Amino acid sequence: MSPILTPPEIDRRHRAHESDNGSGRRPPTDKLTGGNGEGGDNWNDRPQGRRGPRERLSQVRMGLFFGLFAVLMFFIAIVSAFFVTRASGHFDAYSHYVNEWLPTTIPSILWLNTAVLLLSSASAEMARRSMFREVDVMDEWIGLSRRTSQRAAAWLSVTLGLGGLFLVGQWIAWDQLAAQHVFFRSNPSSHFFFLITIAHAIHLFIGVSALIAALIGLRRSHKLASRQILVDATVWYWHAMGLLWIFLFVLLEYGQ
Amino acid sequence: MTAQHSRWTHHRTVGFGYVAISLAAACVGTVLSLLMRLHLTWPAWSLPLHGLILPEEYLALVTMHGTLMLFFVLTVAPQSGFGNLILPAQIGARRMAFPRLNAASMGLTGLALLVLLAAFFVPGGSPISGWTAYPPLSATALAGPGQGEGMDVWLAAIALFSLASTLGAINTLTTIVKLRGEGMSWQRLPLTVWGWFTAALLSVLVFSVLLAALAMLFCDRHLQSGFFLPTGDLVNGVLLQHHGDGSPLLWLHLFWFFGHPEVYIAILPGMGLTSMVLANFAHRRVFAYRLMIATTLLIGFLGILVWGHHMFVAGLNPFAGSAFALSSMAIALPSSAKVLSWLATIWRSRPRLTTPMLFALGFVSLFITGGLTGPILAQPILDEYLHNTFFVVAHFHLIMAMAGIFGLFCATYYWFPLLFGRLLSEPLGKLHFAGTLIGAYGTFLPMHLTGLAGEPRQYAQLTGGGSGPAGQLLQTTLPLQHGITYAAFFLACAQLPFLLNLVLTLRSHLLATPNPWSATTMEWASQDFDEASTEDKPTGLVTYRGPCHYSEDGVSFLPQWESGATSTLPPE
Amino acid sequence: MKGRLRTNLLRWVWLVSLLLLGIAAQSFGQGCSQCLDNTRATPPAVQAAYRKAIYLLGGTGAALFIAGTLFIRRER
Repeated sequence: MSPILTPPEIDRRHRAHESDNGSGRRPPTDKLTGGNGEGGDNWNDRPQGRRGPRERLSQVRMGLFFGLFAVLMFFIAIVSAFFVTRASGHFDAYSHYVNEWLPTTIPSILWLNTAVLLLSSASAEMARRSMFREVDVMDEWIGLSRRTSQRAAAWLSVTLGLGGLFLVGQWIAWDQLAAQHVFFRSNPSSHFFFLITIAHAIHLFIGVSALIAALIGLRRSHKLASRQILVDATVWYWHAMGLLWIFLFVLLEYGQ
Repeated sequence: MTAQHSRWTHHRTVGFGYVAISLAAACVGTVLSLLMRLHLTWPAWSLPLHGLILPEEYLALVTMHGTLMLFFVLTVAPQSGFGNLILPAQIGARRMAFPRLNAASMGLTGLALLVLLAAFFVPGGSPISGWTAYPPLSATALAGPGQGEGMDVWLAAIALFSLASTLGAINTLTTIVKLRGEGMSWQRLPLTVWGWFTAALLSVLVFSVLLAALAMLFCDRHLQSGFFLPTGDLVNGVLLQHHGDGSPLLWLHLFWFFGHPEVYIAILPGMGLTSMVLANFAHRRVFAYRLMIATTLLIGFLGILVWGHHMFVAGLNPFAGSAFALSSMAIALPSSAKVLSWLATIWRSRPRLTTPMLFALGFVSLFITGGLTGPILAQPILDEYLHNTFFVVAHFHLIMAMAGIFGLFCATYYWFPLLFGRLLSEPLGKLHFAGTLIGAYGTFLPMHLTGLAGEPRQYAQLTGGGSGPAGQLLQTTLPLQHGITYAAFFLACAQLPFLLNLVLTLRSHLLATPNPWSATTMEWASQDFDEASTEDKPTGLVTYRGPCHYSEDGVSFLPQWESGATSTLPPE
Repeated sequence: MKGRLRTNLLRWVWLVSLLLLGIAAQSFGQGCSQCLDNTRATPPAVQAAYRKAIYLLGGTGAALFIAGTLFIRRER
């Protein structure tokens, strides 16, 4: 687990003994909590295990992972159709079985794109890790510096650049195929090549938008926790899209 | 996220929005079904301001009725509507996990409904290929008047709906997993929550498959691909121009992979609610509580693996058909376990026969009646004969549509005091129940008989089929057809007491007492726990035990939120 | 005593359900004649592809369903 700052765990105090009645008998037990702009949100009132940013982070992550289930099923549906169509043919007028499937030559630029996407995943991970480096996070939480956010923003910008590069590379690949007169409508295999790559590009475009949102959030958001969550969720989504691309690329390269 | 949430993203607002959407869809869908019945019985009857109902218009009615009812009523109201209204309170939470996402998916659902209804007004009218939109007829505008722009509008509406449902389900899942209040362990979750959980998990897994299939169908329609179209396919005498050797069977696989779990999404919340309401009014614990949790999950799990039983006569490999028949019949096991638990829960108890209890009993009754025909249709051999007959219509209307609606009415009567602070009138409610039950059985039981006699479904006209044996066969079902139509109108009219009840109750000043049903689940915890508040502070409620702790002697009960003191049940 | 009764009962339930499923398994390969014709006219490669696709789609769905339910067991 990556370190994320949560206030020290305090047992839930019973209401009857809660307040210091001024007799001096009870030492003040109130710790500094709920700082960091979480106005009026006293985590001590909450049951253990749900006291703030850590829980918000895991909530967002869980939502994201359920969303990724859905994305995976979307592509699995297309891939299972891919297997069926690849094998299918029809009988022509001479009772010959004809399979129209002509494997689409994968433009070699896709290898380069894959490398770029892998690199972008690495830089995204650097951004995510830097958001959770304990010493710097502490500094930023107290308000001494914004070093973590600045570093993460730098890495995210690199990711954004590489992601943009990937999308441009995909565009070039479609262009190259078009120059060879391979279009979406040409052949069953090209249907699937374009369907899969375009659907993935749309998902990656959502990732790019998330990166931009995260970059804006890093500048604008006043809460460190929100910044951390924004970066974390964006990067996990980005990783998932990278992993998905490798699966789809292997399928297109070797599975046709 | 922040301490203050906008009212617009509050789960109650969102929940009422969903309910309003499905109420609108239900009204339109009911009118369409009545028009279908009128046309089937009196083909010469002309609709005022419109004229005769043409065969393609009849098919459009079938399509829109199915789409509206299944997507916008049976999916939206139990899962998203009551899921938002009740779920957070029932798990001891103050809000849903992602309020803004929640509001956005409600907006998308509303937009989807508007887009779908727009299909009535585009050139050519609404689509005619049924809510299942089988290609090749759904893949080309040549297939009929509604298959051009109407079909495109349909595709757009369902795509929006898929997106919205997925987002809503993500929110529901995260809420249940992460936001349960203190002490609310998995074992203590009410069965309604388990129903919502399983249905949401199914939604996340299957709606995106539907979205993929819709995207491919869109390509077939507009980009000359042939995912679902065989080579050399003639539609209305025109050769379809496209590349590839696709197969409609592929669409059927993808569609029913979504379509079958979809019916469980519609019914699982109702099953959970029935368990809780039966136990509530019988003052008993739910029989075999852990088994009920397990069967809920098992029904969801098996529901993913049975889609092929919709395709027994579609050219599916018979061996694959047998495998799907096996998994389909396996679902009968957890379903029967549920029925047995319902019966055991109320067995020899002296239940308070309030309106919600009556509707829950009606749910059980319809679930048994509709369920018994399930294993029959799960046999490929029997399904061959019955598949295209009204027998199937009777089956799914009883087990899914009517049971689902009874679940919704049960939820409305049960939770009305929680939502509006007033109890719906009992006499009017009982009148409503009796009318609805008689109407439901009167409409759908005879369909088994006409189906067995061979009446085909999705045919615009049954009379005047000539003097051949088929025509004579259909002639013999005509008296029953009339009866079904009268019963359908009776069923529709039986909803008037409900509307009257709503209006009268909302105008009355008689407020309900807190926890009027002596319920044990968390949503009834305290009336001062202001649900409508948008402030995000902890509820301060602790769950001490599972639901439905009623004492053996039937005198006292222990709600989930009480630490030890039992409450006494009111005298009968 | 009660426990033994319960295990006995459970065993019977299992046996009966297996028997019921077994009876269904005996009727292997039933289907409409059109379906049979259609299947016979389909080359084995295509049949295998359909099989593979069914496994892939159903398997992934089922695996994710199980993963989803196991996933939540980690939470309290």
